[in-house]
Amino acid sequence: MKLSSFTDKKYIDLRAPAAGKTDVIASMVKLLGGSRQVRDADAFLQDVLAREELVTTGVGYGVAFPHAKSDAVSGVVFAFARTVEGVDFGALDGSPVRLVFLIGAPKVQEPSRVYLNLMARLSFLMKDEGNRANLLSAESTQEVFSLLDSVK
Amino acid sequence: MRVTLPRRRPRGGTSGSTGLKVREYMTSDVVTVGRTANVAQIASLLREHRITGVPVVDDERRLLGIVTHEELINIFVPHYLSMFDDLAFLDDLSGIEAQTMAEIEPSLFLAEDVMVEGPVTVRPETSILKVAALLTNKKLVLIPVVDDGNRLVGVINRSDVSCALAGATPKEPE
Repeated sequence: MKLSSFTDKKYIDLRAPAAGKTDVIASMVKLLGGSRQVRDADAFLQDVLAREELVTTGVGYGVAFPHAKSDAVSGVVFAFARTVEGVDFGALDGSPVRLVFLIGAPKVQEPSRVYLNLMARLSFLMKDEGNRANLLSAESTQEVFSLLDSVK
Repeated sequence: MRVTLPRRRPRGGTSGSTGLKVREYMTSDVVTVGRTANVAQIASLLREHRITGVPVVDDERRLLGIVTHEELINIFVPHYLSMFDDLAFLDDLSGIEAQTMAEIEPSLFLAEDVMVEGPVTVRPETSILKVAALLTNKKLVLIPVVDDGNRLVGVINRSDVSCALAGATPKEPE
């Protein structure tokens, strides 16, 4: 599974403004709104925020994975944002978030499996402190892609 | 996490398989979870109660979906491996095995995220033979039993159906 195949350089933002959690998610949904996988950005945003309401996706160590299965999405896709300053995601460890992966998938079953695989691998990648440091210091989207594809 | 514990419904005592209905063989007090249960909690429930899956319900017990061992396993098994019948050529999966629950944040994966939405359901008055066909044709391990309002009233699994069809002595209520 090549992680970079589920995103595009257009969906990577290394200088996202440090607004609130909802604003960060909304700006990322807007990025993906230009993709062929997201048919209705507004509906997708509502689905992501509804999932976020259940339990925060701020898993700790400065990383969050807002996500949703949505009828507004036709294929598995993700965006990445690195915020200028930490954002309060209500994370499990209380720490502010700077690394955000927004993941979308359709509701049908088989793509859903791909989506869970993708989240598991991104989560695995971000458990490593060195990988997080590399993302925090990356100066280009190419560096981000290289890191993403370092995990099988 | 909201959990309800199972209690076997007393069997109807009908012998033979003709005319057998789901209501006579289903488990009526079912282990269920809400949409916010995470996969570690669900896996623990499955092991604790020795069951193959749990229905996901809302506060009014309306069925939202179902989570079985398969959904939990699928998080970790790369989807592309499903394309191969024989995995003998894969000697070393250690890179993938490292990505186990120990390395992944369970709270990221809720019932909401992993459940099969809109699962196959049956009614209490459905025939056991129809359930048997559904289980085998669709490769299911259990089927939620719902009323007219899509509220969960039980589950029926392969063991229930094979016992019903084979005429095994009904299990005593737990």
